[in-house]
Amino acid sequence: MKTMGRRAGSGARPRLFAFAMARDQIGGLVAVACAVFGGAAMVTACAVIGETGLTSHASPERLAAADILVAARQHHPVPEDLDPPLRERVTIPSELVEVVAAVPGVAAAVGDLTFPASILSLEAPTEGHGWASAALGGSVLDGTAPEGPGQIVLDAAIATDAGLAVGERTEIATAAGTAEYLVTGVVDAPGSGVYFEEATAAALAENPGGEVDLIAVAVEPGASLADVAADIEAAGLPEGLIVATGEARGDVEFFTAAATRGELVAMAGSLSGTVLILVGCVVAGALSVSVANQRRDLALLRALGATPRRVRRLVAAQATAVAAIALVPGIAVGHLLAGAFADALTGVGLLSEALPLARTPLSALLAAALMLPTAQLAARGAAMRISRMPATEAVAESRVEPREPSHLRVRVGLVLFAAALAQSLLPLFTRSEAALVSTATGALMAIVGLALAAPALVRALTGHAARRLSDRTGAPQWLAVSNSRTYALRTAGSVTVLALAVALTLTQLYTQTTVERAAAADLEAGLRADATVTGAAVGGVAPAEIAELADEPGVTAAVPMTSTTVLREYEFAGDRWAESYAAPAFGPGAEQVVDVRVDAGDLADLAGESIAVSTATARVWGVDVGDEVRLVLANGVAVRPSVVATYERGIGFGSVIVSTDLLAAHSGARLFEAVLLSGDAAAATVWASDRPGLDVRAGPAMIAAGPGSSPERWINLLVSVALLGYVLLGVGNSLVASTSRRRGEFAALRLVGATPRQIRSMVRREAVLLSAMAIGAGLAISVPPMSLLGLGFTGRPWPQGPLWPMAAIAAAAAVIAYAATMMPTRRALGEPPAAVLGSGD
Amino acid sequence: MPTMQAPRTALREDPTRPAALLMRHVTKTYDGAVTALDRVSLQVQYGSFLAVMGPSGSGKSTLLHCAAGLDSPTSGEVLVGGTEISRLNETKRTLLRRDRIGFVFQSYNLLPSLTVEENIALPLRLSGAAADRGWLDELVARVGLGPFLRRKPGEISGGQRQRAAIARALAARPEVVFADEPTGALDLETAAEVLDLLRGLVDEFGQTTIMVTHDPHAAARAHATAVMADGRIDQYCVQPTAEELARRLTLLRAPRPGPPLDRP
Repeated sequence: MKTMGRRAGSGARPRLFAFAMARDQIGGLVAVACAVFGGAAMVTACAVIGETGLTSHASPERLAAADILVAARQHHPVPEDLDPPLRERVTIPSELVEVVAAVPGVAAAVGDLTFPASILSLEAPTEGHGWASAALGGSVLDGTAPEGPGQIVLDAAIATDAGLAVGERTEIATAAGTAEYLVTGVVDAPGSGVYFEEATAAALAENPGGEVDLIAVAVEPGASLADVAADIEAAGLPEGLIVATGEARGDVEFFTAAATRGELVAMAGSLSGTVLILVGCVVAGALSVSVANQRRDLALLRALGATPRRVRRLVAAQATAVAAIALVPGIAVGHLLAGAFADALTGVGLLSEALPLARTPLSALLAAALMLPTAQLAARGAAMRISRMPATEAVAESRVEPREPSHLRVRVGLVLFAAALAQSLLPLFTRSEAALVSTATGALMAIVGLALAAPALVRALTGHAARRLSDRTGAPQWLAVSNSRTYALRTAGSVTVLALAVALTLTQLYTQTTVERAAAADLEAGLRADATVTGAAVGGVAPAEIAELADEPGVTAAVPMTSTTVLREYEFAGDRWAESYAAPAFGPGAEQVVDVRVDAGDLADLAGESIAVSTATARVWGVDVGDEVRLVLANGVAVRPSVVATYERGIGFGSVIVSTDLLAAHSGARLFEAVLLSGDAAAATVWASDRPGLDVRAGPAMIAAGPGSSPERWINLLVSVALLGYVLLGVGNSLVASTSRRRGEFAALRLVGATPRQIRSMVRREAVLLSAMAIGAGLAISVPPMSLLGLGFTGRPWPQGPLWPMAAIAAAAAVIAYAATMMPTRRALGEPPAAVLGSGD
Repeated sequence: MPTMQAPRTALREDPTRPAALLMRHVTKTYDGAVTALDRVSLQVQYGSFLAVMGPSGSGKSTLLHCAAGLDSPTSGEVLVGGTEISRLNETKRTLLRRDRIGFVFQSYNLLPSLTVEENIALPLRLSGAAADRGWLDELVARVGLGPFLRRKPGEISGGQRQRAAIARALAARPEVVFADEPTGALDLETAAEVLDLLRGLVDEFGQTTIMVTHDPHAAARAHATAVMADGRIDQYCVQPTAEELARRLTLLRAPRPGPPLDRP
């Protein structure tokens, strides 16, 4: 309020005003503070996540001793879109090691390899590497370097954990099978690993063309790191390679962490767009409460000679001051929120643990830079009309709502409803990702349609209610219906926002749960294995062991299974695009352990360079059994497998099933997540009993590859629940505003003879009417499409999932509507009616 | 104590009947310091039309609020139709206002969401009383709003709105109608029509009416005028002319420089 005295002059009256205004508008200012606080928290959280994506590097560990790392880009280039990340190591030709080694200033260049190699007695998977990359940094070696196929050097931490010393022998499981090795040395190097002699490492890595993962470079003492790096780049390396120094080396070493960074930026970007729009709306709504509360005081200021500009500046200065105060806790909470959000992202694999959160002052600055001008602008906007009005008019402004809802608006709204309904019918015809998208966009269309048609609908509904009123209807009920009807636009605004909150949340939630149930049903019906072998302690099951297992008496089929991703490249509107699909990979014999409900072709043909495609996806792709498809594997290798089968259970098994042969032919050593068996489970148990690290479980393992397992959906749900809370805050604000503005109406009613009780009863009925319409509309928009989705995907015509969230969100909407109207009403009724009317408000 | 007697033509004499309004030694102080009413006594008989005038801050609004049960006096008694109202709680006062008192304000205070007809019948609806159709029809015809009954207040003129407010004030057949600057927002011609209507309702229906105004021409339409100054009834004139009232007001203002503090 200091600003007030300064700006309006130093006379006794303005200071009196300032004092009175501070007292009267606390409610409004609290609303502004809440809106800014919530907004700052969300903007800060987005900024932290975005900045993490932009600038955060995992620090190099195992390869920290290398001055320069040369590796392939872990993205598939797409000209017109974000490059999708590649989740398996993109290898580079081993000849390049020589090229790099020949660059002046390079002391040593080593082709680095990483492959599964687990010490059986350790009971935790570890990785193997060539000895040269550990030797690069000159780490202290206790013992001798590995010199033959049977020798290894262990990292000190692993040696301690496994209780191994130099000279001892231990069994190590690799993709080539389990073999015994002699520990010739223990090395005190950062990171952890099992080091093999170079030729052994290359053999165990099984890269088809002898490729290496990356090249680790040591620079000669005295040579300039930057110069050497530039020389390497200029040494005629093929395109798509990166030369990393400093912190960027961490991105090369932990390439999966780096791969998620682009997704983080994209997510933070799209999220902050939504957040900013919402924050703008809610802050503006809160400020209109604040300005409405001060209406009369501002008009009086105008009468005292303040220019419209000065009035706007006063309101803006107040808003900015309040915003600045609310920013501080908002930013602090934003950092906490970012931490929680990051945990959620890490939990679903969208953020690597190796990537530290970027907690710099930048996010705080960004939040301040966005929130303060938002508050300024919203305040000026809110004060625009009142500041321009002649002072006398501002005091005696009529509160009549003149506009009739336009017919065009209503018609467009109804057309959108029809279109939304048509869209939500798609799940009845195809169980696919496309049907989900159609349902989701249908829900959005229905919400826009509701926003357009709501005033007319409110008028029609309240008109219907009004016709049912009789002379015997109690006065509160009668007044409540009349008010809701007359102020159809105002009522419709609140109804729409509340209905939007209800419908969006329910749509998000039940889409997710319906898909999950459909996926679970697919898998339950489709997984037919009698037993499952897994190898969690050693990182998976080796191909050699699978071959052995298949030969066991009693076992009719042993089918390896793993999960991967494939990119499908396609042309659209003259541009190249790529779509990423999570895909399970099955080995030959898959038809004996899974029933994906083959539509055409035969799953028994899934061997060699082949894939199977869900029927819905095949339709989208425009392919049929026998066609070749252009795909990019997770390690960036382009392949052209042929489609051997199409299948129905795409929700559970995913859009694409890849043959493990295809992966083996184009990538290096790999352990399988599970082996699905048909035959005698007991035989497998006996077989596994002398193979430490392997577990046998009767029945099929659950795999998660279909859209039901998509982690982004849960993140979307999480975010929409957070936004829902914020939207409800906004609705609460605007309801408080419109109710506070009815002081005059309440006072007039009381002078005509209405008791405070009758007025409370009237407002209560209005709130009930409002929430009933909002909840009704919200359910009407969301339940039918969700039921159609349930019918199409699971055969049960109602929303699939727990039903309590429906009740919970309806209750939340009702509580907000009730509290936000009853509290200001009680406050208004505390004032003597004559004083309210006498004050001219 | 000045006693207001209506002209014989309009008076239904009944010696056992109490006065429509009786105020005895009514004092109202704000915050224990500002005295807005200073031991005011006033008696208004049924069927009479009293105007209350006075400079700003003379206490005329406070008098109206205390007399109408909108505000409770610090001390003294207020009786409306023989019922003591100054010590009632807010709810009881509201019920009493609903049954016995009508209000007409400068700013009309019609409910914008209701039609003219609904506004007029609102007090009856709020009290749950059965509407006396005959009376309402007569009232509507008398105030001349017949063609506008289905309109909303926003769709009619200021004069029509005030007529609707007057009809509403009379709908429940109150003992007293209080009018607070009823012509304050109207132009001269419309104001004259509204005053004609008020006077006509007093003469034809015997409606006791008390009107606060600053306009001598308005006050001259009443049977009598109480002129207030410094929280007291300074003068009491029976059927004065507008000129006489204007002169008295000027005299009242001249020796008292500096406006007293105005209270809401």
